Amino acid sequence: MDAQIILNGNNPFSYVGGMAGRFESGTAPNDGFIRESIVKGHLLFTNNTARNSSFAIGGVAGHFRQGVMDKVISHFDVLGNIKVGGLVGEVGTGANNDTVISNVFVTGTVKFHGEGNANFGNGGLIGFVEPIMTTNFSFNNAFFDGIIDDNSLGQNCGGFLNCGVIIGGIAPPGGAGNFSCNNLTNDANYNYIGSASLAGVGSGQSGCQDSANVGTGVRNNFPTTGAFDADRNLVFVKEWKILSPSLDTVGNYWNPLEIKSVADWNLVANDNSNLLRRKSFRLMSDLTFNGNFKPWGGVGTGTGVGPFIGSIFPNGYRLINVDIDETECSGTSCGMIIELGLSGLESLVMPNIGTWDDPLVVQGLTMTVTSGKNEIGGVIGLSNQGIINARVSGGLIAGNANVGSLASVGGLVGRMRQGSVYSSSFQGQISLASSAFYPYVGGLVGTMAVDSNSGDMNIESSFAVVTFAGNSGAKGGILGQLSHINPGDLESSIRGSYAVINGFGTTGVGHSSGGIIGSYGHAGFGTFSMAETIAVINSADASQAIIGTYQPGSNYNNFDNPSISFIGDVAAHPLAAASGGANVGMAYPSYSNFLGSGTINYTMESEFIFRAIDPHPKMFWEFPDGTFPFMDDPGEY
Amino acid sequence: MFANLSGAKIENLTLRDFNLPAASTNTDSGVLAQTIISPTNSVELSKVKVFNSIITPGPNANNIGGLVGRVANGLQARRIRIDNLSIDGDNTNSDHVRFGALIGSHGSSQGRLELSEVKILNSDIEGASSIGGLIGRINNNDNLDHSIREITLTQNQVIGRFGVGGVIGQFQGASGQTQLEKVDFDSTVAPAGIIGSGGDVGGLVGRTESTNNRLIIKQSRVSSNIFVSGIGSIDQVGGLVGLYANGNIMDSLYQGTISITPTLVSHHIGGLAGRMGVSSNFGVKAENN
Repeated sequence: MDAQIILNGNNPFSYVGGMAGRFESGTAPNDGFIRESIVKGHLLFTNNTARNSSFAIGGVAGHFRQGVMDKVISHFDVLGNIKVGGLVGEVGTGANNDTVISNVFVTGTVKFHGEGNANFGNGGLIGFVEPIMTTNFSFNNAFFDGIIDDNSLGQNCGGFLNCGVIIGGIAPPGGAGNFSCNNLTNDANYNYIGSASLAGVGSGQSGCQDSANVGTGVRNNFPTTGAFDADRNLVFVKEWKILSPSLDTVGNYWNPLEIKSVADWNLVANDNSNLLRRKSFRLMSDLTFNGNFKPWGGVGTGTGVGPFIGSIFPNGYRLINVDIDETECSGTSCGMIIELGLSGLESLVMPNIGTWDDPLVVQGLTMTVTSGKNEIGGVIGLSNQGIINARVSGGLIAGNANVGSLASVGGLVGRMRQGSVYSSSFQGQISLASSAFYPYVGGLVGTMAVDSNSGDMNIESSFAVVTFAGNSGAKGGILGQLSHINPGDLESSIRGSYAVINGFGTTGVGHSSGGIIGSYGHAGFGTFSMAETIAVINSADASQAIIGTYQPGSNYNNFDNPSISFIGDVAAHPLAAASGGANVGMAYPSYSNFLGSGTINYTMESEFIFRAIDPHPKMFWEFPDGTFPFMDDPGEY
Repeated sequence: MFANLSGAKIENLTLRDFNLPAASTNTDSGVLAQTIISPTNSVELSKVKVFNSIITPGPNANNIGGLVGRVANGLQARRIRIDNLSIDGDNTNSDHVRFGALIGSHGSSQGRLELSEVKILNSDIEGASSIGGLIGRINNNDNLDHSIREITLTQNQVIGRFGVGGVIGQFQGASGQTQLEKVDFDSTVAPAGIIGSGGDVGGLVGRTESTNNRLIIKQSRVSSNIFVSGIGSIDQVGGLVGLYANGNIMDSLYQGTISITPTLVSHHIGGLAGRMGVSSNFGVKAENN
């Protein structure tokens, strides 16, 4: 499976799975199973009320009862609040047949949301085990190598509320059946609040929650036969054959068009048919532009007729010497992709730039903007989606006094009003000459605008090595401006990222600069958190260590929700460069949810290792007999 | 073209530009034949094509097929092509049931259903329930083994309320087995190739409700988005099957986006199947998917 499941509206859903919402094998003969399968994809809630109240959500099955699951891999990303598991949300037994789960491997992201709501029964592999009835449940040879993102702020989900890295909660026994576990292995990355137990707390059946049953960090006697070999590779290798393409089917997400030359790239830019901007593309060679680059996704003659809403699959190839001519950028935005649009109902597939294991690599990027653009980014000017994996090196973004009055300039994205940036980087210089308008400038993103329409927005596992020059507005090593205006219960974050700033230049009156964020404005509810993030400031230019300017909204009383939290290791070095001094660079001191009472773990400076999001294993898929589908067209009929 | 076929053998027939208005399509309507219901004489069809045709269901229409409205006898059909067909029903009209681009309804019969090498292209099928891109409903009460293989459905849109499948809307019956093999539903039609407004919606099959009537799915694929939006709960939506009571899904794949928008609490949403198995079933299976 390679499915994206989008759940809309504010009503809860139950029994949602990457493969099966609910699996149940009933009366004899008990030969029901799910086996030797791969589940890939992710789950999205577009409404947080529904997300918080839905339950039984699993990467393979939402609910699994009375049957066998064997040799199954899941890298289906799940999220929710109640009974969420990377493999199974809720396991049940019954009166007829045993329930067996064995030889399973989870690499997806498991995200729990608390936010003051009931948050229980969530686990990396299994969320919750219902009362064991008269039949048995055995759970053997399971390996968790995914990511747990427990964003349940203020919830100690490792304790009373039953969340665990392997299993969340286990209900008291309901019958004479046995619950046995063997060879459970955890090699996960997790951002976890509270005590990160390997298994949650249940009543009874404690043997399966004993940490002695769970190996950590290395494989714990994981089987080398069956579905996986000693290197965790699949033994049952498959690959789908590509159907004989026709003009109607090429260019979609699963069958992208091929770009073999600079001319092919520019054909997309120059297409005014409203067709190519909706397609997806796969690079088939390195493209060296040397003055011949044309941007995609603009408005008007020569640059297509609207935002680009497809995907780019780099396929291991690079874009070299990308020289963006602002006169090719229509409208108020400029970048390699002028605007990355919402796919909406046109394709129902989210556009993406790069993939988890296939980054878009850009070596050499120059852009000089002088004509009043407002959203300026090396990769994307104005983004309504996001970037999964893009790496820009040798970047130079420059401009002068005519940059627009609301301008946002970022090494990767100018203004991001929806979407996130993952596993991406910018290395280069952003140099803006004296301007009366003082744009917001960020090493990765100029402005991240979180509001009630944006959805969660995050910058994760990314870095910038940047030299700012010239005189402009607020500058941040990662983010120029965080605008957090009344986003309801949305959450935004910067996690697992770093910035190295080799110069801030000068900053306009009324602005200041920060090692991570230049300016942070917040009004209304909503949370922003920062975790495992570091700034290294190699500059004597005036700046705050972490955040330059903190501007609460006019309704200060709305600050009762955690508005900003530093979680774990967030550090800046050296503080001597920061005028915020002991206040860890916060320009505004009166925030109240700073975990750790201001203590910063400076040992991170030497120990910090940039760790990109673990690439998902590739899926190769081939039918055993190699005949499908229709390799030989029987002819016209 | 025919009211009923019995013991017929038809080969190399092309039907173009048929228009069946609402006044003529209340029950059992199809471009080739209204019914195939002779109890003993099976029918063979080969290289039959239907192009550019429109069927407008009447207010009480049911059993509407692009080729045949209702089949209740043995049928062998191979190398059939349906291209640019419209069955323009109303998904809010509860009488608009059992619509399919090939066959509206295959009922209990004395003969097997054998379909192979069928192409359904550029067609729109809309009704209320038991709506399929190939067949609206199969009802097997006679312990028959039906075979449906090598079917391609390209750029079609299938719209219904309950029991909506890219290939077959609904399976009923108390016995027998139906095998779908090498079936490919590929659609990039916006907003989705398969659209529901109720429940029991799947990329291949909307609903199989009998635990004794097995559905086997082998080497099949759906590459299409599935879009379900409506008032009330939306239950049982899957990339291949919405409600899957009994059978085995092997070597098959769903690729696409499933988007669900209900107004009440909803259940059973899955990339392969919304719900696999019910409490009284035999062993439902999925392997090598």
